[in-house]
Amino acid sequence: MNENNVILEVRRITKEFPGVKALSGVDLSLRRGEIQALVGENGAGKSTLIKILAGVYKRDSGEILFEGAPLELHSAHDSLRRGIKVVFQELALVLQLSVAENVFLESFPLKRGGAIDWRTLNRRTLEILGSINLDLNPTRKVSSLTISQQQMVEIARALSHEAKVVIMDEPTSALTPNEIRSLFEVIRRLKVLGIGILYVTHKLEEVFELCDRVTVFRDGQLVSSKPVGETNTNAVVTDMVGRSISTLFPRTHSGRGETVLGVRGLATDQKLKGVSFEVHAGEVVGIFGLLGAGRTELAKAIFGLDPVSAGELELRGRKLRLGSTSHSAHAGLGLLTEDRKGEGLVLQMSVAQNMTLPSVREFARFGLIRTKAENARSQEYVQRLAIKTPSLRHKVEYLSGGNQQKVLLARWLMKKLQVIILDEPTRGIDVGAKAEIHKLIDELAKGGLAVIVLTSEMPELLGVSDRILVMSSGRITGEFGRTEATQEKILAAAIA
Amino acid sequence: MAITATRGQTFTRALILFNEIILVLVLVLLSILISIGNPKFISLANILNILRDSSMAVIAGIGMTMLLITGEVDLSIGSLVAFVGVVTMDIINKTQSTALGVLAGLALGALTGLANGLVRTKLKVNSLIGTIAMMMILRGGVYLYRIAAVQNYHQKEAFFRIGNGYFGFLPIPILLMAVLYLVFLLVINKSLAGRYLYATGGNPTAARISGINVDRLKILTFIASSTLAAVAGVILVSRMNSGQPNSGQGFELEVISGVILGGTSLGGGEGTLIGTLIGVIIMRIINNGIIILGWNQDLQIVVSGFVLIAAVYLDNRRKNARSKIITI
Repeated sequence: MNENNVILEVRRITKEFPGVKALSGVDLSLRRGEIQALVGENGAGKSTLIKILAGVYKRDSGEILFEGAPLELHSAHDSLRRGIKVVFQELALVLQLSVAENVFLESFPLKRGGAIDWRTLNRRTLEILGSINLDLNPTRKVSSLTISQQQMVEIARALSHEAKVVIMDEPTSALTPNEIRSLFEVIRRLKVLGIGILYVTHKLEEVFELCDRVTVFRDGQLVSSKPVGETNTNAVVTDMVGRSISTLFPRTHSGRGETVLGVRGLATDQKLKGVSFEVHAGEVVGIFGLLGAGRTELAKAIFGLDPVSAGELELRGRKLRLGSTSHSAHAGLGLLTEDRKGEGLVLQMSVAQNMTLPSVREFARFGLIRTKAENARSQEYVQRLAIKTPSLRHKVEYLSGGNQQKVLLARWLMKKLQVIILDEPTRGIDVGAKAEIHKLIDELAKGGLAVIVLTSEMPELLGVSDRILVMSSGRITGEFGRTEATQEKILAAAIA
Repeated sequence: MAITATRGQTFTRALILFNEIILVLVLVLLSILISIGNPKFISLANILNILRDSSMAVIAGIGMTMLLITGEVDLSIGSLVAFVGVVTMDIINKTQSTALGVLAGLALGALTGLANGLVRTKLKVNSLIGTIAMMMILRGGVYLYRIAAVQNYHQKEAFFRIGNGYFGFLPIPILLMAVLYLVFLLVINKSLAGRYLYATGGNPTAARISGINVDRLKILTFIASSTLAAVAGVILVSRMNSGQPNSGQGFELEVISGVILGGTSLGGGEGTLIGTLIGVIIMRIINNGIIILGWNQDLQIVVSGFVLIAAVYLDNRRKNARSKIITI
């Protein structure tokens, strides 16, 4: 291997967030004209790495060599100036401006005196678009383009900066098969131009169709990095999944009662494309899906937080009104949202007040809340769930993530429910609290509830579920019983 | 991580923890300063005078506090106060019944609140804009209804007493204020509705997930707020003894300034009635002080403007300090 060919090298990079080691000692090198795939489960560290390379995050330790020289990035603008362009899933375009204006956004060609040289701007844009075989009018407004065309504009922007490295974060997740084909053509053009490409994806078939090398991340570490010719899908999946920890989560109860919730053909305008399944009393149904599969959308649609375009819901044989959260709540549905602070907690209120929010009515007489009864009940749950808080009146804002999550769980334990939907119940929570929350999920089911757990964490999924449904692109693409489910089968269904 | 407490941070942290105490200190300090200029300020007559003048803004401030707690605002109450005054006086003139006139005024308030609430929840128009529109509609509406002031042709004793009468030594507006204040103190601090107000303003999604009908709650709060403003309008028309279509100008800003000064957050989810009472009275004392010190009365508007900026600035400081506390 010619050493000079390496354009970007990452050495022993480490990045820690409170409670999580996102990257620990990662080495990676990328050559000119190489398309390297980065794969791994959610939370494996891919996104953290590309955000460090984009200048969004600062690394804790380690070094980055770019064209053989150490690279220090202080902002996203820095990385672009140095020749590293990251195309995120959320495109960074100014929709109201033209294609050409976006391509040269940071460096408009100017006439003497400072006016923008529109002719040069449009001509050079045309040249750049031509170099990747793209037929787009430079004066068109970006807002009138398809997502796929907008992506191309982002790539063209990289070329206007003479980027030497282009990093793409799941670029195909919102594209049709035809658009994916033309994207691949553009990426191959970039390769011919000698640009090194890091390609983050969940879809393994893309890896083998497009990439030269596949690098697998797991738990913040680089597990393997091989030329695609020397590996295969099974080997990559094994590297991604790695461990077997199915015994970590004891699922003690698995009785299955009558049908509690029936979901039929549920669809939304954006994401869900007809989802049907049933959940029974005392059953934990785990729903797995990779980023963008539609898990959270499903939870919100069932609860009525998002408008539903088609389908119906039945609760114990009775039709449930769609799109009304107060109706769902009173019918006995509970929802633990993925976004704890944004959608779950009322940060200004106390621990007790947060716990009793859905059930405070039970403590009221003539419309007035009997604080003593409320506090007694809250205290009971603080003890039962071992919530660490100085007092019941303490603002919930000041608790740790794990304890906040327990407050939210207590909220639903206090209320008489039929169905509870838990969306990523252990995200961002340390291992100890995780195990406690898994135990609670088990207890909830034992109490006769129908429990739905939406998760992107494979071990959690296999540990807590009686039955597993797999989602991909807004559909259910697989169903497995507890005994037949394996990580490989689930992942295969998730990337279908 | 420990935070090194600079003096500025200590101050803002104190603002969070002891907001009401600081406000009381400001109130006392202002009173002392004005009394030095003119000892008459501290007389019982002047204190009752200040409280009676404050009663309208405090009563409307109760509603405004509840609205701000849910994350909404109402700028139409100044125009509403004028319209209520004109309608109340007109109806009493026509029916010779004080009760019917007052009822008509309150009904106008409730209907305005309903309209504001529906515009906010059904048409999804931001309440800042929606109620500015309502302010224009009501002000134009009252001019269309009556271009000139409606004079008192009925000479009803009951009507006169609403704004000018006494209960023992206590002016009736102060009594009205005290009763409404205590009732809503209970509502906000002890009732289910009060809890739901805070939850709705603090995190609307969490409130919805907990089964609170956020839209209905907001509509009801708009109605309560406008009806309380209508009570202030009835007191005002009685005190002026004529229904003036151009009255109540700037009333909404006086109320909002007082409420924010009292520690109610513009962002929703936070606020106390105690703070509102003190905040509104501070605004009144400033205005009263300007008169009693014999300064140019136009200063009142200027000073109110500065106080509004100061109040919002303090609100921001509080929010910042809070976000810093989290990182400990």
